[in-house]
Amino acid sequence: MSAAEPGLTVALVGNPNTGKSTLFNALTGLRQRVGNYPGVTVARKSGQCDCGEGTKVELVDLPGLYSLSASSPDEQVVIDALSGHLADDRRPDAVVVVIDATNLLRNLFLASQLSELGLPVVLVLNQADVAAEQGVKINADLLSRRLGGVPVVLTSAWKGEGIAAVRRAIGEALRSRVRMPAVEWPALVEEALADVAAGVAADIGRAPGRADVERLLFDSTTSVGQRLGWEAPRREAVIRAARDKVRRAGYNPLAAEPLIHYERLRKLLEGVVQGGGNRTGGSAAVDQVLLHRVFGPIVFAGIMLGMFAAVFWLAKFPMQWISGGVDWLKAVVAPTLDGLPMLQSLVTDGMIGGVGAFLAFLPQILILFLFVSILEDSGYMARAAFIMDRLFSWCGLNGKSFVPMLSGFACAIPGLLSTRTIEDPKARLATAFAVPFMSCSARFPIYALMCAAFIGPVYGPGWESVVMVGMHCVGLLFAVPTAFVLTRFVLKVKPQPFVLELPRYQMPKPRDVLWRMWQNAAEFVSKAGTVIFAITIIVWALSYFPRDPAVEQRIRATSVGVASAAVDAQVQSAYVEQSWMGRFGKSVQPIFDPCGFDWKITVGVLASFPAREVIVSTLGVTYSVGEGAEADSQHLQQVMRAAKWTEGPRIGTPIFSLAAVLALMVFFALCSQCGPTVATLAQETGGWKWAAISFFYMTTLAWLMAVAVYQVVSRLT
Amino acid sequence: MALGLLPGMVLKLVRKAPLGDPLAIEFAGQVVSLRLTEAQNILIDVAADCPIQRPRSQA
Repeated sequence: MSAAEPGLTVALVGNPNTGKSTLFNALTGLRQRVGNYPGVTVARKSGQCDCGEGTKVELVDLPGLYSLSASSPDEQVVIDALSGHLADDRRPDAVVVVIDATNLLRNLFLASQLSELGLPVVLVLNQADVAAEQGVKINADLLSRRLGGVPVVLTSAWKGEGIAAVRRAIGEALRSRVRMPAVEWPALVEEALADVAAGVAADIGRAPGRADVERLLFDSTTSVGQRLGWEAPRREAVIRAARDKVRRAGYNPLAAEPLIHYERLRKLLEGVVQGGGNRTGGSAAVDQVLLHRVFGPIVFAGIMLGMFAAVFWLAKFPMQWISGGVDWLKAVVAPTLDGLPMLQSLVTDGMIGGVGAFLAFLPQILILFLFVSILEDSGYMARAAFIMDRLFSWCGLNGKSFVPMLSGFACAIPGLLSTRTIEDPKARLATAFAVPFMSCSARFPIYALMCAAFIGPVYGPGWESVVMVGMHCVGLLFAVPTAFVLTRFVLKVKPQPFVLELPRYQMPKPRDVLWRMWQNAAEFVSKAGTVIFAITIIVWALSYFPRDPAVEQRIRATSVGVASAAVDAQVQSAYVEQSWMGRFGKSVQPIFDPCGFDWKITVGVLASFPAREVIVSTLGVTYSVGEGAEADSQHLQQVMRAAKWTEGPRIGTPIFSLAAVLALMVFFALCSQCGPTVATLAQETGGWKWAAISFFYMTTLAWLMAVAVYQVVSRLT
Repeated sequence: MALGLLPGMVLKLVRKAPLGDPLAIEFAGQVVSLRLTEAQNILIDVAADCPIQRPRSQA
């Protein structure tokens, strides 16, 4: 936290699937703040926790992890936060370690590693109710005594039991500052650690922390050396010599740490834990069905279909209310600005339209995250990844890529947001790269317009549906090789280990699910929302200015006696033609000429950057049909069918030939013509670099494919 | 290792994923999914009561 807010900070750490977030929500009562750690896309959640007797602390919920050997950005954040190496964060004053009471030994490994940090510790044995049901008896007092008196609290965060005791224990730990005794290393290992510490001190001139030294000695890859500024050649020599010492102690250096910790913990737990034979019983029975060779995939497909249907269809109703509300607001506001046409257009088309543009995404995001939260909290997400992993592993993705890619078929933005469930950063990036290729619902109006106007009437409804389905597959066809090439040749990832715990099934807690849904929506609105708003305003300005009244006067003077709606449409068309957007469209039209696009289509392509479906209404304006044209507008379809080239080598031939229609659809299937997606990609990948790469890659690919389709098809027909 | 898979432990192959990879392996009261490539790094002795006498993960 900033220096302006002095006070006590307590970190909450623990393995995944321990109910840590539920405990965090219970302790802070949802008085939380969500931000980002600088430079990484790891959410920083903190909240105020009242520990009684006037002690209020800032509780920071750190990402779940199994061990301090960092391999993901999430894990690195935990290590940096706990050792006080984060730029904007103070080192915490105490650590609360959340432990799954049904699997004490494995969970205590992290606590045992943390004991090396020298911070006051509180152990929370959560899910104590489940442990009791399984017949596991835990002697918390004995455990506390053996750990030098650190507070040990039994809780069930789900049921809300033991929360007050945790508050008291935090207060107690902060006062007594009792630390958990560190592990006793065998003499030779201790010596090796001292050697590394001496090597660091000699080279960089200051003594390193104990935890840093352990990471250097025990981990095959760690960023600690870089952070300390310890040069590689010297570092490697010192560490190699130290590891030889560990080897002489009879340990494989890369396995020594867990072996020694577990040895210690096994002794520590003697007499502390009694009973508990069938610990995976209930879940194993459920898995008999859910992971069954035949039923497993069927159930999986059913759940995913349900989720997809909800995101795709259910969200339509609130989206209609939102767009209805936006139209209503425009209609109410517009007359009040009647005398000021520029301001009127800015407020209604620019500002209200811009807010409406990102609000329209909210229902899909909320529904998707409702499902994702339920699937994660129940333990099914891990099973889904288990079932799907083989299909994704060959191209560098993993089983967790499935949900983001599926939701991409509704909208890329919630899909991108849900890539957060993927721990492996490279698989996450590759998935984020693949998601915008999925045929989202904004492409649908373009396909619908083209098919209804050109494919259906000429080739019949059979071909119309073939083209529709085909267009939905085009993106997928390119997404998978893209991910393959990206992971194999650009990111150069070796096949990453994908070790996944299949946790016990659990009933999701409605409060946690709804809270998470809300947090994601709020983050989307505050970050991507502002960008979407800005893009809408910019595109509005480009299509509005310059606005010379002479244009309108000339048209009105020459079309006396024509119906006023038709004249209005012509005026709009003329204004767009001579706007910056129109001029720009005309000047870049030669680039799109090989795809068979005239300047009107080109303007449509450019103006649809805020959202793909905008091209339909833009075509309505440029083809003088009037504002607010929809895909099923008969008038627009007629005008487009009648449109012919008025200049150039194709003069007199229809603009919308089969080749041009297919090229336009393929272009929209592949292009990155969606500002909000680019903005969200930047948000999720922690910078504009990958968003820019994705934009240029997709646009180039879309252009190439559109050219190929146009050139081939126009020669065949 | 961090998950507590240590030398001398008893492993049980609970099931394979529908496409044969990854494997669900039970040890120390938990079920963990491992890809075949990772499982290959685990050396195992086949238990006397094991119905499969030559599991592929030993390769």
